[in-house]
Amino acid sequence: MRLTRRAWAGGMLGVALGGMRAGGSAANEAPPMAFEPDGQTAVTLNDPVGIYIDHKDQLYVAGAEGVDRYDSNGQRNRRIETTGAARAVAVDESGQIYVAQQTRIEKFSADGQLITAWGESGRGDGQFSYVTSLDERDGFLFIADAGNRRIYRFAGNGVYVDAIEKFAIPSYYFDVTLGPDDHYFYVTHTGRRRVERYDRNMKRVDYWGESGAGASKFFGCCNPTHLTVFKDGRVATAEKGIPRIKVYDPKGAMLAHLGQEAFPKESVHMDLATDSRERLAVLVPKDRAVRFYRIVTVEAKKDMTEKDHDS
Amino acid sequence: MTLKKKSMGRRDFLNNCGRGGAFLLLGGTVGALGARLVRGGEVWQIDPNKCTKCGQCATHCVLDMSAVKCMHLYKMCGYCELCTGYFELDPVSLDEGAENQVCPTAAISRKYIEDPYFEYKIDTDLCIGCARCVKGCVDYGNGSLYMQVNHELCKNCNECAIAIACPADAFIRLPANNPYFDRLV
Amino acid sequence: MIKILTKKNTIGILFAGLFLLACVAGALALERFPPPDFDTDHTLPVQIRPAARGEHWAWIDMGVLLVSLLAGTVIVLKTRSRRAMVWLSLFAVGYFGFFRKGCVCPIGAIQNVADALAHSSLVVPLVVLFFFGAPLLLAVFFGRIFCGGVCPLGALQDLVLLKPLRVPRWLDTALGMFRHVYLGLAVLFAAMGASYLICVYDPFVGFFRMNARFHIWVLSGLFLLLSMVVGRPYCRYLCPYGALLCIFSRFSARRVTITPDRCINCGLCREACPYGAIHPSTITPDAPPKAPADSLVRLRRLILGAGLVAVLGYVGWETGAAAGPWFSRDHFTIRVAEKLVAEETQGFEERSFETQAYLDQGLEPETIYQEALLVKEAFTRGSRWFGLWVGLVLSMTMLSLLQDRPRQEYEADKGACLACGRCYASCPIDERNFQGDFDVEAFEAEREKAG
Repeated sequence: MRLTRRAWAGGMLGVALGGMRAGGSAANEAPPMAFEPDGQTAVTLNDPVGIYIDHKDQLYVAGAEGVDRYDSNGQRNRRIETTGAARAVAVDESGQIYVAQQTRIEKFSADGQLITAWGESGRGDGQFSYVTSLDERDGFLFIADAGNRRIYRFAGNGVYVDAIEKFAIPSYYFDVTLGPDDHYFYVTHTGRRRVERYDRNMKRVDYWGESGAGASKFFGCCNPTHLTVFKDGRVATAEKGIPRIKVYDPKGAMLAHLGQEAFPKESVHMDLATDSRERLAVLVPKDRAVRFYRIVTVEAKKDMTEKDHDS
Repeated sequence: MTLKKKSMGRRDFLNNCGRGGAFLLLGGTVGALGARLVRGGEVWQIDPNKCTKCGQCATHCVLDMSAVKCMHLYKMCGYCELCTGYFELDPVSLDEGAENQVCPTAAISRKYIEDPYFEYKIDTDLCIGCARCVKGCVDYGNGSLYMQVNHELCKNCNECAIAIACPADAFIRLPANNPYFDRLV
Repeated sequence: MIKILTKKNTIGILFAGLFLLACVAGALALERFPPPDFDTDHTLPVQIRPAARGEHWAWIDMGVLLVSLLAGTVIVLKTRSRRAMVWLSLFAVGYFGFFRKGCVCPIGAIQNVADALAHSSLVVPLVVLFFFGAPLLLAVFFGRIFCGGVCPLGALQDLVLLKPLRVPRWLDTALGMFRHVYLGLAVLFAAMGASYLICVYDPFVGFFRMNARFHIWVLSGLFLLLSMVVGRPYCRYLCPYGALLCIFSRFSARRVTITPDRCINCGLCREACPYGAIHPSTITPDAPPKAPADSLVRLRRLILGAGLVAVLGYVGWETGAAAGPWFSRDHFTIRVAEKLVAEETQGFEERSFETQAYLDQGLEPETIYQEALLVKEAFTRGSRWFGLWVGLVLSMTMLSLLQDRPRQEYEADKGACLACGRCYASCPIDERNFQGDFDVEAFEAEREKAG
């Protein structure tokens, strides 16, 4: 039996590695970019599941007790306690904080005073079943409800506007994020293993993503679980099952890949965000930390490692 | 003659004492343990949270075909098109071809419901309890597949042979009137 | 009894956990992630939860055991028929053996009882308690009826017996001690939460199920071959339940008797008994009954005997303590801890199943080392009692070999008689054997003449 299990594990690894090699060589050899670690922030909340970075580079972490805010130096400067476990957080231009719980949205002022709250559980329009992500722009909230398999649009005061329906979402991973140019928002269509882009009329513009264990593809039942968009339109994605993080160009060609060896086993809820310095923030719940990476060219990375080595 | 009678009498007396003692000992033991029966009987079951999907359930059961089967919790299933419990890791194509399936006995059947949902059903008669599908589903999917002792088949042995072999110590006793784990999200 | 951290002890905690889980499930029904809303009229299939089928089989098994035991009693005490016993044996091998695959059996039930006595959280099923208690209860009154024709293991060996060799009494007694030792060992292991030794090394259950692993097949084959020439080797020298029955049946009120009061001391029954369980009469024409020893001599014997018991008991007590840590290596916790230590100190290519599974639970190696120490301590304590038991068995066996009480006729040994009924078929006084044409007076006269 030992042999069988080894064979199974070995086969699995072999397939995954083989897939990665095949995926890489078929597309464009090795990925041209690499991840360079650039610090991390420890998280004190239990069960952290979501992060957000506002325009002042303040980091927000959503967890069981509520939301913690850290300044750009990584010092915690506020805790906002919510009625239930916080699942996602978003912040508008004026610093008002929207916190999503499973079936409830709470809106706080920048100093943590509750302004308003709404949300009723159910399967109807504007009702919530399992909210997993939200984002805000120009007074509108975009809310991903994995249970109802919809992207909702709400006014900032809690008035329901409209929705996109019929996503294939097999599990409670469903991410929505606004693009840099105000026109588009991005959604992880996990059941179909692709990233989709929608315009402000809630119409799909385009999508990309392939199924498979290969490095550039999305593997398993429901990936990618999280995504974020850089200023130049590059998209970073996170996956569960094989926990890994990748950066794609706007057309969906893979630029950089950080494999499962970099993360604790069975890592999930690896939410992503970007800051003004174009750093990628990655929530690693099992490490209770938010890691920061810079995306650099492979050559630059090589120089840096050599310099490290010399010093 | 009188001497013999006396010795036999003592022997009988000792015998009666011994019998009484044995009777009390037995009665006490059985009575004390029998009193616990009000708690209800117990059966073997697998704690899916401890199960490591090692595959030994398939080979260590005293029955010819293991009483441990894969169970499917429909309300937890994502009805995935790319089911990692059904398909090999990098399937050639997403269809019913034997080379794509992870199950060695083709015990899982796949039925198209609507785009992009498929329903998966397990044929208990074909399932050998190897846990390969469970590994795929738990590691990469929702974990709606999990190993359970099928009590229609289990003989509830004194000491479960799989329990001895289980590397994760995942075999536990559950009350006979509620012998299954309900795996929740 | 002995409180240790074992897998059995966690069961209570697990129940509490399950209860909590059920409460949480009720309170947080919302938390459950909904399955897809299908556009088509597809509905979720009904969850299949096969109910335990054991319940009615348990009642049937208990009924069959009860009827078989009663039948055996009637055969031994009233019918006195070997032929009927053979039929009962055949039925037992068929039903309890091949049909029910040798489970539940009273031999294994010893372990459940020992385990439950040591761990108050365990519940022994009614059927197991019944299988454990009924044959013992019967033994207190009527001897080892269960062994005679109800136990499938005994019946199987009995049925393949072709040409029994007589085992010398000293060897028979010496080998007979093993079953008591085995009983002690099985109780120790079960009570400590280690393996159920009896089930693991049962030589016949693999035969009934036709699926044993190789080394058990070899054991099985050896025992069956041996059974052809040595009467019931497992029952007489290894069976722990036989050891219990042997003790209990010593106090039996009625049991196998060979034509009492009419015995002509012909010795045919002794020849017929393949188990050496019939002792000859001590009264023979050339050896008149010995005068009983005087009280001083008896007192000296008693003191010597008590001294022997004390010395061997003490040796056992100390040896047991030394053997405890070695025995404990069968325990799951110790196995994992030892593998973990080996992996941590010597390195590894790939972690073993057990250690990987342990570490995957997010537990620290230090935790299991502490647990292992507790288990080892408990094993050492338990093993002392096991050693004491072995010492007692040894000394009592030696003492029993020294004394032989007078018998007026051929008698079946209370402890050793397996109630197979062969002696009935050989007795010349029994009218059914010879249709009454056996001339007792002629036999006596002939023997007289022969001197």
